[in-house]
Amino acid sequence: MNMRYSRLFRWVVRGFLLVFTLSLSSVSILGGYSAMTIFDPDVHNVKIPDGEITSNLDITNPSGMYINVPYNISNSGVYDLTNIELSFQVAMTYGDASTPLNETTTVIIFSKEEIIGTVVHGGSLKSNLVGTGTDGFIIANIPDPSTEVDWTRAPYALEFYVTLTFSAFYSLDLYKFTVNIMDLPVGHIP
Amino acid sequence: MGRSFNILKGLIYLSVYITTTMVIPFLTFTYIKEMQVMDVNIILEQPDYERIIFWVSAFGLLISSCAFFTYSSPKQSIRKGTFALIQVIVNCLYVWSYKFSGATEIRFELIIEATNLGFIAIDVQNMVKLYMGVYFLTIVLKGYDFFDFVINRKTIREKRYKTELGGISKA
Amino acid sequence: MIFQTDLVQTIADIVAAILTFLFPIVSPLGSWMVSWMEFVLQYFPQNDLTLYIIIFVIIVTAGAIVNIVWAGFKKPSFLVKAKKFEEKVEEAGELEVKVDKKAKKLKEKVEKAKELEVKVDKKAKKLKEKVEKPKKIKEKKAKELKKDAKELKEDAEELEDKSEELKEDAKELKEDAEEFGEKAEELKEDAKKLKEGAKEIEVEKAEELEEKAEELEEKAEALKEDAKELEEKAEEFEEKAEDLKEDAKELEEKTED
Repeated sequence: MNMRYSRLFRWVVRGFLLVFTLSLSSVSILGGYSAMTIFDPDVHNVKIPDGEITSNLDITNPSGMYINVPYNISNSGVYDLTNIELSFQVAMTYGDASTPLNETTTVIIFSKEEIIGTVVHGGSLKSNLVGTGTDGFIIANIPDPSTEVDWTRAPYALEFYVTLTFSAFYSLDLYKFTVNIMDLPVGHIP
Repeated sequence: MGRSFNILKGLIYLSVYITTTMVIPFLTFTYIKEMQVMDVNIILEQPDYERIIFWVSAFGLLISSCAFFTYSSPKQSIRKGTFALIQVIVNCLYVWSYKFSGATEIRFELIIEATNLGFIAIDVQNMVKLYMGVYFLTIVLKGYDFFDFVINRKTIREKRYKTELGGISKA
Repeated sequence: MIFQTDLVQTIADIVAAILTFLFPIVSPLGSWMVSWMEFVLQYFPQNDLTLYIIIFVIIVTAGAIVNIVWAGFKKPSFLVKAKKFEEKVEEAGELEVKVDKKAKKLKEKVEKAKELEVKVDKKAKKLKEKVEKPKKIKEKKAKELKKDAKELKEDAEELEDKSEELKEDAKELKEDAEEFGEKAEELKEDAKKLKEGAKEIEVEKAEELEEKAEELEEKAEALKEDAKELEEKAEEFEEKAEDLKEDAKELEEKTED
């Protein structure tokens, strides 16, 4: 009778472990499948930006600066994408006229993080990341255009670069992926 | 015959475990070390790669040797139970040591025309924690087996030799 | 294609349900595991594979040696003892049968001797009466009586021989019964040791063996008693035969007169 109970206990635990391990393996496989469908280059499920980025980066009027980054996230996977975060930074490279040799300087003039939340499986989210004036723009980092910017700098007086970070949890929050694109040139003045 | 069979079984499992714990991870990480997707080179950072390979080799050796001892031992013997338990614990360390090698956050660099464009990182820490929970239960099961083998040692040995005490001489 | 997608989604939902249910139970265990592993891993060498290779070689070598030398196919000592004990019990059983047969044969011999004793006794009584009659005995009758007396003497001698034989047999039986008794005692001791040493053997069987040993011991005692009895009976017959021999001699002398 003792041996029967011990056998029963053993089989119950083994059964539990088998079910659990199979579930974890399935989640991994399904997560991989989801990743493939979401990041399929032919389908463009994650579009950042989704269309043109509209912006006013005229540093002579910092309070009037704005940026609008449209994005579209479609979740064609089998699990929800959760805790989606989007981080957008704009760096500006210019010749610092306040230095003897107009040293090339890079400052971050815009930084914003947006917590998008969840996109359920089969769903999609279309929105914009918007920054205006002091909402996102780091006014303190913007140089004085009349005294601190070398407007004769070649090839361009002001060059703008974008750093984008997109992260999300998937497969029941068991995996977190992060995509970081750094210093992508997006424009210049003039 | 039984002796040789046990040793052969041990050697087979040794090879299996060397393959699954060392060879396959080595090949996998070497393969994914550098990939190209849509003309973008995705490269695994070198220090991460070296640390992964080190821990995979170190614990792979320990797991494989324990597997040999376990599978060449007689069924339900105490030494089999002991080494099976040790193997599971070392297996936990093997899985978790990936963290120290950065494998719970695997980072791929994106390179276009020799320019580092950014990275893609996959963090599997939560998944690994869940696997650790499963291992905990496996350890509990192996520990239970071990105590069962110790307590019921004579009964097990008796069954193993198909006891000849069935019926006393009726002279 | 739609069916395939639906099927995949169904599987995903089932797996999600299982994991969502089990996650709160398993995840804290995982966190605890993580904490002790992080502590333990500090002590593992992190730059050199040498130690790990050495441990690998040691474990594989030790495993090969241990599992070749102690492959687990040798019978456990308590089972060997039990088998030996069973053989002893069988031997004792055979001895019991032998001694039993001997005792039976001896008992039959005693019965036969008893019958002979009764016959000779009767003869002696009859002859005594005839000889002690007060009438004068004719010569012919006297010759007959002498013959009868001689016959009686021979019968008495036969009874004496038989009783001596019986005495020898009873002695032999006594020795056999003693040997059997010693064996049974030995078995009883062995059964006790076996019962103590091997708790995992079915208790029933171990006790059965002990009972059998006790049974054999009792049988040996009984046989010893029988042998003693038979020896006494044989001595009785011997005395009786002596008496009858005396009587026959007396009667022979009387008839000569």
